[in-house]
Amino acid sequence: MTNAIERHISINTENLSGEFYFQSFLTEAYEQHEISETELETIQLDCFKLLAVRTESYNNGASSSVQIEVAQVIMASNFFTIGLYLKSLPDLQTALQALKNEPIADQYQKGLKIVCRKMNVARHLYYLVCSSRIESMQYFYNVAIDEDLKRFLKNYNLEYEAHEVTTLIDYQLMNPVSDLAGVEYLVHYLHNLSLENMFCAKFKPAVILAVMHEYDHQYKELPVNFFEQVLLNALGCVLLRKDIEAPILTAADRQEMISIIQCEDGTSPFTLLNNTADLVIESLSITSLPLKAYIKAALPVLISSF
Amino acid sequence: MPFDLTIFSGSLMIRQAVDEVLECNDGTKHYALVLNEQQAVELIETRSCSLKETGRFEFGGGVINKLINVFCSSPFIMQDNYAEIIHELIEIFYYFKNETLDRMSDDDLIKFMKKSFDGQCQSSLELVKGRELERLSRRIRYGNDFEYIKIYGEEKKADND
Repeated sequence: MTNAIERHISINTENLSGEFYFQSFLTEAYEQHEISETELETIQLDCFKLLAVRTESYNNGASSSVQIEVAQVIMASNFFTIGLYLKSLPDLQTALQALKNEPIADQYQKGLKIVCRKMNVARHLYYLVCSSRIESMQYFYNVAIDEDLKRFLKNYNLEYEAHEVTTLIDYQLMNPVSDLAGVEYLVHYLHNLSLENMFCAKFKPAVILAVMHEYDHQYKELPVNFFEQVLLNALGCVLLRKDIEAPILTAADRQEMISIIQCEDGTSPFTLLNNTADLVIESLSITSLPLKAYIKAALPVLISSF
Repeated sequence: MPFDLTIFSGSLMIRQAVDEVLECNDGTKHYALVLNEQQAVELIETRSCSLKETGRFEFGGGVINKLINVFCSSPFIMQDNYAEIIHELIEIFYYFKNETLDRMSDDDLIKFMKKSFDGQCQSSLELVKGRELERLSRRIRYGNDFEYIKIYGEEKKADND
């Protein structure tokens, strides 16, 4: 049995960036005096050596120099990959020890393995999204699945541009992915989209299309989110005591719903909507915890849109 | 704490690059060509300026060593003009590395420069730069690599054999 007392480290997680994790971690560790000037220089020199090796590999050894933009991209990619490794460690203390004691090249190699694993996860999630997709003619949704995401998976350069979001996906999610880059962004986007599809799959396709038509008859050309409209209608149906299996609210119903939410005595709109969301979850027999959490996370956005 | 590529242009890197350039003296002594430390430092400075002007980044002694090792055998280079020519070659090299869109390897570009310098241009760096390399880079930019392949195809084949 060890009685060692773990030293408290003063790195503030709020100052760590999800997108630029390595850089922010190093900066925070240095500013909080968790790493010394000498250790920082050693890490920087190791990063430089790694950059030299990666650049040589990029050039196939044919050129000793590269355009500065290329070097910067490779360096950002290296940082992203190392950052993924540090993020994967159980806590900040372990991450700090790894940063200080493990050679940067080893950290990079471990990070690269994580990138590969995340790519496999992304491929699986893409398969889930395809198999649960909503049958619709909506342009943005279909392009996102048939072209953008497929292109992202195909073009993602995990060795030299691991941090890049190579393809812009125009279909906006109800809960957008932010502060993430590269394969992490892709995995979260696909995860969220699969949850949205999972929720919409609780309704008949004809009902979803009717909801979208009710929202705007030109919805096929609009970058409108399916999940948002279907959830809004489901919440409305519960509030107005209508059949949730066929949630088609008219414009008048929507107005009534808004007035109920805003005028309910003694209850805040969020609490009311939260309770209604619980009823929706129960009515649709939703057991998936991530989907429940996703629905709850969407509520503040819905309230702000009223 | 700044953390970009500029942190790597410190004195440690310069020292390392100077040492690498001075190591070339072992090979060039045979041609009665030697660089002193001051000249090596100046070459590194020229390289830094050229890299900055052309928006490029390099590791270690890099291309200076390659230029020295190839050009030291030129009949037009003597101790008197040695350092001066290497200075100019460094500037020309990086400029045309960009102009050829990085599609030529360092070795091929240097080989082309050496061949032009010793051959048609008869040690005129103005001609190497303004005529031969301009023509080559124009062809590469317009996607016509044929001449480049024709020039080097046979040489490379001979090298491989």
